[in-house]
Amino acid sequence: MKVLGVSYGYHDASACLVVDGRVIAAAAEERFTRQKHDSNFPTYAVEYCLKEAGLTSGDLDQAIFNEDPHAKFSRVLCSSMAAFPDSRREFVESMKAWLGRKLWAVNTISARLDLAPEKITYLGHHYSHAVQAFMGSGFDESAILIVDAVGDWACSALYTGKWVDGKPRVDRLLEVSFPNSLGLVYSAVTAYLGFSPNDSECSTMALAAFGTPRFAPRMREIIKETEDGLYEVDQAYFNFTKFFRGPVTEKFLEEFGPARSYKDNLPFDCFGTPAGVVSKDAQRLADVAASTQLVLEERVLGLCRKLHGMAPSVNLCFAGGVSLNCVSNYRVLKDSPFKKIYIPPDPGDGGTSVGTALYYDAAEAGGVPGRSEYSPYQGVELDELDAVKLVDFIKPEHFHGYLKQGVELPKGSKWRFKTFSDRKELYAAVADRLMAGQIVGCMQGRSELGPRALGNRSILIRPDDQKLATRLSKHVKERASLRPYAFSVTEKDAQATLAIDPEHLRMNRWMQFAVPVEESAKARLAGALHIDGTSRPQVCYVDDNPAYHALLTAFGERFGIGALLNTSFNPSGYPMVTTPVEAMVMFARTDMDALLLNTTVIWKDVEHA
Amino acid sequence: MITSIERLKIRLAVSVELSGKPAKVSEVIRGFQATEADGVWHLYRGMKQIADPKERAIIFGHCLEEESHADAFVRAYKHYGGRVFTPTHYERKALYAGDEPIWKTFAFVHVGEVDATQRFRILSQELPAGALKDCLSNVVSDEEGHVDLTYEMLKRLGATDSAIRSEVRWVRARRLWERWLRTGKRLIDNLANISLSIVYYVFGALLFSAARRRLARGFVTYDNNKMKHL
Amino acid sequence: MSNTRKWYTGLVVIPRTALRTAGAFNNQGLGRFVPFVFVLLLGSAVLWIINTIAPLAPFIYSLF
Repeated sequence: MKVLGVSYGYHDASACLVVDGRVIAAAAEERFTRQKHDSNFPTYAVEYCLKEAGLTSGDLDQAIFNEDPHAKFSRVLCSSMAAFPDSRREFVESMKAWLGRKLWAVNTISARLDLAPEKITYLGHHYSHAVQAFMGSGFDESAILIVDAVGDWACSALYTGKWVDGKPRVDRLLEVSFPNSLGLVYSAVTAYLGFSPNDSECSTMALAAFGTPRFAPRMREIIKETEDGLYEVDQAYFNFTKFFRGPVTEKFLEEFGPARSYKDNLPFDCFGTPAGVVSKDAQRLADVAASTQLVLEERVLGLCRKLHGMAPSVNLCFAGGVSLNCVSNYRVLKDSPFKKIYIPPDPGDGGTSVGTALYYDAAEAGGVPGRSEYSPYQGVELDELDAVKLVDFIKPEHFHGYLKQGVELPKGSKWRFKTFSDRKELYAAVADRLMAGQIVGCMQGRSELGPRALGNRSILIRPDDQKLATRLSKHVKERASLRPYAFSVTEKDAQATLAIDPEHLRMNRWMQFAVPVEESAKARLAGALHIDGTSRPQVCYVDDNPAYHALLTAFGERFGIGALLNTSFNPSGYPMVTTPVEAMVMFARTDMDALLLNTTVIWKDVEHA
Repeated sequence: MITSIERLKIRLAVSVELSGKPAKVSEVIRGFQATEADGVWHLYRGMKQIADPKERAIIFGHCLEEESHADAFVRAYKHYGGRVFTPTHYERKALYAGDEPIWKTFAFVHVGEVDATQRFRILSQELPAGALKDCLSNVVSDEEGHVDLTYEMLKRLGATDSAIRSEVRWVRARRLWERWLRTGKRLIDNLANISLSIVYYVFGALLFSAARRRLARGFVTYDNNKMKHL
Repeated sequence: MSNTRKWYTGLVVIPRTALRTAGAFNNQGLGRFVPFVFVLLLGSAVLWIINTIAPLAPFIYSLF
């Protein structure tokens, strides 16, 4: 059976092709259009998925969409009416979008794929997340927790999943209704803090580590735990139904102080903020972030307890936008009643195309739990030759005027490259460069699904050098100093590095938990640690990514630990690079020293400048 | 092909619509940034179809320039924008079907460069001193080079003079049609705003209490968790 | 059953979508909204029909 999963309309459009129960290809549209979180119909992602399998849309048995547009429309219309007479603008804008496009999603999919509407299935948004979480887990049975901004009506939802007679079955336990949304609260606070909502929630999470949760008692009243173990959001503080009035209400501002303009400096540094530079106002904002983060964790844990009471399993599948919060995820891992936790590699909307396609296939044709587990490396394979042929003709002197702001390169430097036939030599050469303090762009194999770079579209540096990490932030990533980096570590060295239960190591394969680092390893990982001594590790097993594992091992032979600081390979404001040419453009314009493209290393030869 | 009417329009926009209105200026800048980023995307796609690495290297340089222009607009935005910069997203569409010769894509890019250069030049002349004026002045000098570069590229990719002329005419007609569509969309958008506003006030008064009651319910009672077909 | 879309699919989809939408409002206890929803859908359907006249297209809010 050939099933195409499609997700689009709000953010992170994506497509996934499943053939006979296995994922053949999956990718987000943003990787093809260079528009971060692109929400448009995933034309190019679909094209890629079909091409990868040598199919056309006519060969598909079914397409499946991750949303029930009719149910969602009922929520959108109802919420704009509820705010009458203050929501005219919200009503007008949302009706134009819904009556003009979104309500007709099934027809759009049918037209774009030239498929009969009967060949298109759709599911409610949270149900899509639930099957997404369950299908990739490999569990026979599990409790399922979905915490998101909002789907059709639900904002958080509890499910159980199990396999019955060779088919998956996901049943609802309860759904918390809009506007009681933990995800929307977190996004609203993100906007209040001067970051971009639906994108920079990670900045709120990072800022939280610099604050003390002195507003937590008040925040607990606003996001109140109810007697039945769930929660309720006091709507007097947020503009969820009147979003053109700003993310939060006057009452929120009175309570927590003025919002931050994005132009105001936040002088926090994850490697240690110099004394005396933090104003009272900046500290207040960090305290608001810390309070929000703490209460979010408490409410998510409350949901876990409630879920465990209703479905006493040792397994938990967790998805939805809030499951991208790696600090809260670690609390779930550490403090919830569940023993094994599975979070899909892309737990947000982009990953629903994978889960729904797997679910449809298994529900119709049957399957077994383990068969639908999938790796995140489902994206475009790179063609290194395509790029290598270019190198000799590139004249760096021509683009000195187009370097990123603040980047300086010696004039007359040349680009050189070497293609290795022996992988061992290749990784030894790259490891030597990393040891020498170089910033290396690493592109290998197929790109990752989801927001985390897991070694195939990554920028790597040695993990102990904070100055190098600062250079990376300033002149390559253009990233605020308050945001920490993550690191990858081989499974062999993970236990000595991470202060976690050995049973939890495998759950850390996709950078989803902010975990404490062992005291003894802190100096060696100083560049990849947050101010609170945690980091977001990728424990790399050889089966998951042999090439990247080999590089980590080669580096470990020189450094003592097979660990590298790993950040996503993308220019600020853009998605991760997909093609070698995109990678080379970033390499050219930033302070990167070398670029690994499968078996070829390209470097800037400044010595001969 | 900038007409005198257009020049007048830009003057009017600068003196009336944009003057002393940083929010409007920031919206204009977002549009410019999106145009440059969109240009890079078309160049990336075009590059894939060119075999000669020498030619590709030239386009590579062009991509760097366009990307740096997009960055320059983001920096200029910070002088005017009240909110954090979020890029405008278009639905990306290939300019030509896959079986069309690649030089046609560059003909489209060439016309775009010509128009953008002229528009940016007029705008930079008309604007008062400031971050946007500085940014545009820098971009214009680069874009002038691009106009020549894309034309040369067309020839090197095997297009004859007459074929180029005819394609450029076709591209201009297509751009005109697109502009017509945009104008129409703006007009209908305003009509939709008015009619929906009327509907809102008529029905809102009747329905708001039912809506509030529904939102006050903490749970979703109806189980919608199933696979559905239209 | 043929996999591909037919020329009349768009016409079939409109009433089906309208019914599904009305059903969704009823399921959520919002039956009172249904006449309002039909007014909105009727308006957008009329615009869609006019939209098929190509030269007028720019002046019509596009449905599909």
